[in-house]
Amino acid sequence: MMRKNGTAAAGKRTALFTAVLLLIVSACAAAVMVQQYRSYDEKMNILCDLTGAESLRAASSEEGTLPQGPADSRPVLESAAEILKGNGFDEENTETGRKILNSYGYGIPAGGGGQSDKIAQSGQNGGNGRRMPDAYQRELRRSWAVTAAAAAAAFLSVFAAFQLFVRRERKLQEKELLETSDILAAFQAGQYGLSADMRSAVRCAERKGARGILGDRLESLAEHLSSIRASSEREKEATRSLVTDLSHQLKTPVAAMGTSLEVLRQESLTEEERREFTERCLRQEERLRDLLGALINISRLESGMIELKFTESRLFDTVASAVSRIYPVAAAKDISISVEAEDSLSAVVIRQDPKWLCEALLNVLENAVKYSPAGTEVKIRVLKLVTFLRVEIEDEGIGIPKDERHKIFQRFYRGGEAAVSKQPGSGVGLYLTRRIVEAHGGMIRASDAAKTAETAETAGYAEERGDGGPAENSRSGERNGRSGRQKSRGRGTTFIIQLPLKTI
Amino acid sequence: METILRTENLCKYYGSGENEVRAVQNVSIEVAKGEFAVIVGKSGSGKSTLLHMLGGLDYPTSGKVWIRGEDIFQLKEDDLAVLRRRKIGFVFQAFNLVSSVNVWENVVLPLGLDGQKTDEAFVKDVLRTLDIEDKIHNLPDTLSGGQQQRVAIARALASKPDIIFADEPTGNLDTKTSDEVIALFRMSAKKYGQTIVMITHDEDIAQIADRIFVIEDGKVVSRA
Repeated sequence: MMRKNGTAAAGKRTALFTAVLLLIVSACAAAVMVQQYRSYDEKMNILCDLTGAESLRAASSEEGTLPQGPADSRPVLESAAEILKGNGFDEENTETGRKILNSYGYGIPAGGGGQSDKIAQSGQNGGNGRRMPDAYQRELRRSWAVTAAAAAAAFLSVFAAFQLFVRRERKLQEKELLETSDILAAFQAGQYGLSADMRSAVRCAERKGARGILGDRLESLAEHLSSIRASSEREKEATRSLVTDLSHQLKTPVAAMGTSLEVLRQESLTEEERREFTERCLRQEERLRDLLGALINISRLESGMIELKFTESRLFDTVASAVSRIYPVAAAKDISISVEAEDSLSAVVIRQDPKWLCEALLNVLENAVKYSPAGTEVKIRVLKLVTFLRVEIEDEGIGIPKDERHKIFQRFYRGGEAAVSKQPGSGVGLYLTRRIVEAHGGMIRASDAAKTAETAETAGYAEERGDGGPAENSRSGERNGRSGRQKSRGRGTTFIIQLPLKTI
Repeated sequence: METILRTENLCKYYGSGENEVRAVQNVSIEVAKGEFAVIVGKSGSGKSTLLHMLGGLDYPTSGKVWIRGEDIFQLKEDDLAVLRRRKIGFVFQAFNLVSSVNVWENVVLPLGLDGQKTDEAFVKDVLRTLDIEDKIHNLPDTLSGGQQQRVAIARALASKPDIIFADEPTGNLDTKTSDEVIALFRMSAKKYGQTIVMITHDEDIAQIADRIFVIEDGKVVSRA
């Protein structure tokens, strides 16, 4: 309870303290009262005995009969109480008493400070002059004094203990604060780990207590800071690797061009050779230009020079503009392009940067057209799911081997097949596409065309491909995984792009 | 990159002598913070056993697992339980929702059991992100498989863990729903800065991962 900081705890502490104090005081008062009661009780008994005996004697001598028990106890009690209150004494009685005591040898010297003397004195000073001096009051005073002293002592010791406790607490708190400040200082110095000490304190001591919470917070903060640092380092690393990749990519065409130019400088070339090498130079120049275009896009995207400009606009317009851009290329290769989607989808609006998303779709379409034989079809399917729009781009091309699929989205990766290297390309398109799609909060992956054919709602399609169409679901994925490898050639590829329908 | 999860020569053997089954052998992997890591392997390749050890649900025969630099099997059992509750989230193929309470209660239940205050605004945001905010009063049985898995993912995200272990989370879902749930899972984890380690037998799903471990017969045979 003392671990909690803030005024609430302080209030609690004060309340506790007051309660303890009240308890002590009331205990002392109770003790005094009990003691007083006992003493009064005892005196009453003695006096009752005395006065009772006297009145009995008087009664019996006067009337010759014994008193009738209880009926007589009241006057006895009353007279005893009177005596205790200091009434019912007169000088005569006192004198008589003194004489009797003297006659038995219990005489008290006048200035001896004995009890009787004091009684006599206080009696003389009393209001009525002839009142019995009150031993009871004196005792009361004395026991009050003792009790007060005891209470004061008890209070002081509790207070001291409390102070000690508070001081210890404060010291502990101070230690913890210092520890925290040490950790913060370490954070500033760039060391984001908690000290082993603190860490174990966080784990073991009181995980649920405030200290545990503080430790957790500090750990989270450390993580946050280190993730910021990591991301800045990652950026630096990305830039470095981009520069490395760039120079690597540029080297080949530049070297090839250089060699061709070197050859062209020779005077002894035939016209045919000259044409050939000029042609080569132009090809390399074209490749460089391609590469440059792609690189400009990449570097803009990577260095954050272009932030995507999101607008709420219709996905269909973006798809249409990508299709219109690929159409001439496809037509030249006798490849048809079709779009399947429910009519209602044409009006669906998503949060997108139409220019870059179009670029992303175009890259996939270019890829599909590039690796498909003439006379085939590229199908674009758009489906609405719960949270995402699913765009499938399916071709009947050479396919992508399963173990290469996760690499195709890497920067500058190009497939190992001869069929791939035959085609021009920089290995940048799909990489860029993935970056753009992910920046939209989406996802892209490649799959066997047959595997996604089920979504085409053309029941015969999957069967035609020799795949277990209707049985095709995720449960039988492993079986398909195995068979997929054998038919991954010439089976076509489907790129699945998912774009969120709303902001995530 | 900061490493959030690291293992060193992790082994899990069952039985002994001739009957010894080496479910996981000498697995040493690293996953960086914020990554989406996938462990791909066929049924019986040991991937679930591996995942259970990574998540501190099962003790290894030998080897170590560090989560945020902490050797989790050195912790006392209670501390490990606390670590699991606070720093680790789990999503299973079978959803494991409590059928007698509604979606909202399912999501905040682990927080309550841990004695944490529910950050209602955060949980609502998670439910909105996962598109199930209008289902919070429904009982799990009235939801589709995809929706149930969204609830399970929301439950895993709600305690703001550093790392979420998912065991074939889409194994019960059809391909389209599976793609969608995984995309959502990934995007929401990214949004909340969490690391995911997911196991699957579907290599196509592995494509979207930042890091892939292929496991065969208990051994990691390739990584990318």
